[in-house]
Amino acid sequence: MAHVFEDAGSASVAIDQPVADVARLPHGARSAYKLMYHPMSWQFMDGAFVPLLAPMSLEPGVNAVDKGGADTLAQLEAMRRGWKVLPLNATPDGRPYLEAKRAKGGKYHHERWEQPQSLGGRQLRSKVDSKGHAEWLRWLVSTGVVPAPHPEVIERLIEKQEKRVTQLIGRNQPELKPRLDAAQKKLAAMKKAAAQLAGQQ
Amino acid sequence: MANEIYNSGLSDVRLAQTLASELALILQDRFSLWGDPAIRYVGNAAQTGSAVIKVPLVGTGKMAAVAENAAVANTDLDTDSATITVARQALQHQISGLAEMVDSVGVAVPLLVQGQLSAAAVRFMEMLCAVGATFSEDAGSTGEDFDSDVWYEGVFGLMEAGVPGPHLAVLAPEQLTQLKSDLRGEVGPTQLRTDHQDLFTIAGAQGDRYTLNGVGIVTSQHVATVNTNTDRAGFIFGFGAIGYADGTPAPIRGAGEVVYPAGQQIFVELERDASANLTKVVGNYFCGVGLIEDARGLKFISKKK
Repeated sequence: MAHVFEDAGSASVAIDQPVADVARLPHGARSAYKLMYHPMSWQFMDGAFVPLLAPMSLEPGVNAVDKGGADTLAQLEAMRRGWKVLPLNATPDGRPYLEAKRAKGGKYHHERWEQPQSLGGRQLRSKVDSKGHAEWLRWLVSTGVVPAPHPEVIERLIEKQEKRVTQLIGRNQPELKPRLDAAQKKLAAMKKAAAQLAGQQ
Repeated sequence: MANEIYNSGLSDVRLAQTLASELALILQDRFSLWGDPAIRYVGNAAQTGSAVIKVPLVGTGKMAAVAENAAVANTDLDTDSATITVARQALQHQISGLAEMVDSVGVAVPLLVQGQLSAAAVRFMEMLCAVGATFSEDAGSTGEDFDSDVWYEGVFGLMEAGVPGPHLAVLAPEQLTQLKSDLRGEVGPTQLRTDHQDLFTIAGAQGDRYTLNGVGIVTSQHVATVNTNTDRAGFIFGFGAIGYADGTPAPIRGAGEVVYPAGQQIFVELERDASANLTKVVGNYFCGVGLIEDARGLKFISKKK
């Protein structure tokens, strides 16, 4: 089961973390957003084809979000371009996929699989539950929240990866061998996943 | 000898520290494409009746061969539109009279007023990068470095879609450093190109602009992230892909003092609380940025550093 991170501003804080450190992150504020999917926008992650979600910023003035932060028109605009916005509670447990912590100049909004870190008042790279995130993306597809990818889209992704392998082979540089091996392994995994999907459809 | 006068003994007539006379800015990404010709300006919302500007788009057809005496049938017109919503962007500071009175380096109302210009520019860049992450087509892959293959995938994507130029790429700084690292090992005809070599002569300082394969490149820390902050979403686009609108404020009535640090679009109001001896400096900028045509751009997905 994916790890659930506690809100650093809540009472349940690790006992070895001084209160002063959790009062506010040293990170700059990051605006709230919703995630949206597009039938053409897919990626291969952790052995499966999952949607490549884009962030729809909820900042007034960005992509038709209005002065009060209402995103109705923004959602309509996105839908006209083929995007569909995921409701914030589109998760197995119904809890929002977006969380917020106090930060410099406002709030730092992040997905729940990311745990922002700081040390001595300085920003560190966030800890990310990649497995949990990939599991959620697969859940979106398996439950039909995001429709399964069109076979043509999968074919395009595979062709893209084949081209990448060809390019790396063509460069014929020994130092690129690890990258080539990884690309070939990924291509094999993509073809296997595509065959499984085709068998299911 | 006795009674020497040492500096350490002059605490009554010496200062522990003094301020250097020149103020310096803290490192921050202040680069912006505000006013850049790559971003289409769609208009001013002032006195139009709405804060939403609809950008009309129309296609042109093509002729077909018709027999000498045949009647030609009507062809429908291809139309579309995009909307850009203008909203208020603002920044406020408040400074006391005592703070202003003792100031010796310029941290006072004039600095706070001028600072609104930079604040508006940075805000614009942030909004632009948020829009850039919403192109539906992409190049690159999650968890992988940005390299020359990803770069060409993006450039070819625009070429194959027939997007008119000039083309501009907005990358996260690490996307460009990853690209440069990869180009160090690139062999074949590309290693002889002067624009590839020029990429290594430019320092890479904030605001530097590069050209590679005829495409302009700029970098920004405000480039959005995807996949729960593990990947960056830089983007490349042709003119007409992204647009912005702004609004000239109506004449401000009843204000204390109003300053226009850059034309009419940004206005800074000063409000005085005499009782508390405080001066409020509020900068406002009515602006909206939006995607006009999705087909004119795409995003670059690569591993975030």
